[in-house]
Amino acid sequence: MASCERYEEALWKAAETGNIPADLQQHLDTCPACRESLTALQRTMTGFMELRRIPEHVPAVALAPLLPATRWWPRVAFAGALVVLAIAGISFWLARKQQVSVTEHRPVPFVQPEQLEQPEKPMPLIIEEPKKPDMPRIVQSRPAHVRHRRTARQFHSPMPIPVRQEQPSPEPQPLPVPAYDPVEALISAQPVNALTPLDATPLPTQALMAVSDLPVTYTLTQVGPEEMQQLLHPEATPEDGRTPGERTNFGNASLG
Amino acid sequence: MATRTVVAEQTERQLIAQARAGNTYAFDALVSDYAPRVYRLALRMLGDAEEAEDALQEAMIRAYRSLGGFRGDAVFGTWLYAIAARVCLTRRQAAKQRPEQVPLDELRMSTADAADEMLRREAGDRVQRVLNTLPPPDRLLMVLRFVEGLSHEEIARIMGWTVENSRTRLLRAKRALREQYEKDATDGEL
Repeated sequence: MASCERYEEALWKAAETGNIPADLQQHLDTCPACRESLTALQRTMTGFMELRRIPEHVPAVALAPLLPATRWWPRVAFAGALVVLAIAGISFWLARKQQVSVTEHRPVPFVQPEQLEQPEKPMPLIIEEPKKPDMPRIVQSRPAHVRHRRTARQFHSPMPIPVRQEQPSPEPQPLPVPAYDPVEALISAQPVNALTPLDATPLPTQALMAVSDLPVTYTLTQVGPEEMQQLLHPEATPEDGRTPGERTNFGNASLG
Repeated sequence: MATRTVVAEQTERQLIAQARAGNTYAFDALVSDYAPRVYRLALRMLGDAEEAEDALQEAMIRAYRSLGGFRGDAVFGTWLYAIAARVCLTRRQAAKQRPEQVPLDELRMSTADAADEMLRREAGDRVQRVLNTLPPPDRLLMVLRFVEGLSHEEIARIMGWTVENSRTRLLRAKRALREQYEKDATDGEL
């Protein structure tokens, strides 16, 4: 039986090709079981040969009506639409960012009237002394590309060095300083954003926050020096008879 | 003969290029020569004419969609067979619960001798019946080897195995077929 297993592959090959090798033929002559197996395998191969026949009815394969033809222009149109969308999105983002930066609150530091910018003193004028008429001056016209440089002869020439002379400047006239109006400051005050860092908050406002000991949630008005004095010293008599709260419009301010 | 083969290869290459560019008519022309064999493979694997037709269409659509992945290092027919084999295996696994059918109507052929034709048809029906009892991978191996007549190298390429692995599995499938064939003969006698 073990020897029959040796011929298993040879039996298949013999059934498939129809050629029986000599050693297999010798074994078949002495082994009726293998002869029977070969007969069965030959019938199997006949069946396989039958299955090899192409069926008469083969369905037609026509994918053209089923599948849309791939054209180049839809891809190009899709890519173009993506590019346009990307450009529009970036433009919108930039415009929005610019709008936010324009409307972004920047606290205006309070400036004392004394600290207003003073006009600078005019610089003293320097006037060169006119050259002596007895000294003839040789003027040479140089081309534009030639750099002006003093030659050794000019260095040793007896031409005197021009003396600079200062002239007295007129007294600087101070610019008219607008009078500080607390009501106007109250009207023109800009709200302090809660997210504004403390460093960017005006110093009077910081002082007011420290004095009031209340968390400022929304609005604080710009306080002038007089109001600040009255806030720091409430016992002082107000000049116009109004309380500091009325002056600073605390009644309308939203304090948390 | 060699000249015709070269011309056919060049035509096939041109058709593949056009089909890759999206020309479905070129693809239809490309697969028209292979469709009968793919249909036969599906018919022997699935054992049902309608199932085989659906499998053929599915295999062709899959081939069209994955034509961009065809590298050209294999024969187009082998590549198409691999797709059809996978489709058939998937369908066979899905239809495992359904009873097998033998496509007797599809096995009709024209032969001169009616008696000989009947004997051949019986042999074919019996082999088909035995094939239907085999596990799908073994069945596919037997169909590829003895119906489609592919070599071990081609089978290994289609199934993604080594040649030696293909030989070993085929030997195992042959034993299973032989056992089932003898069992079918015993049942027929009973």
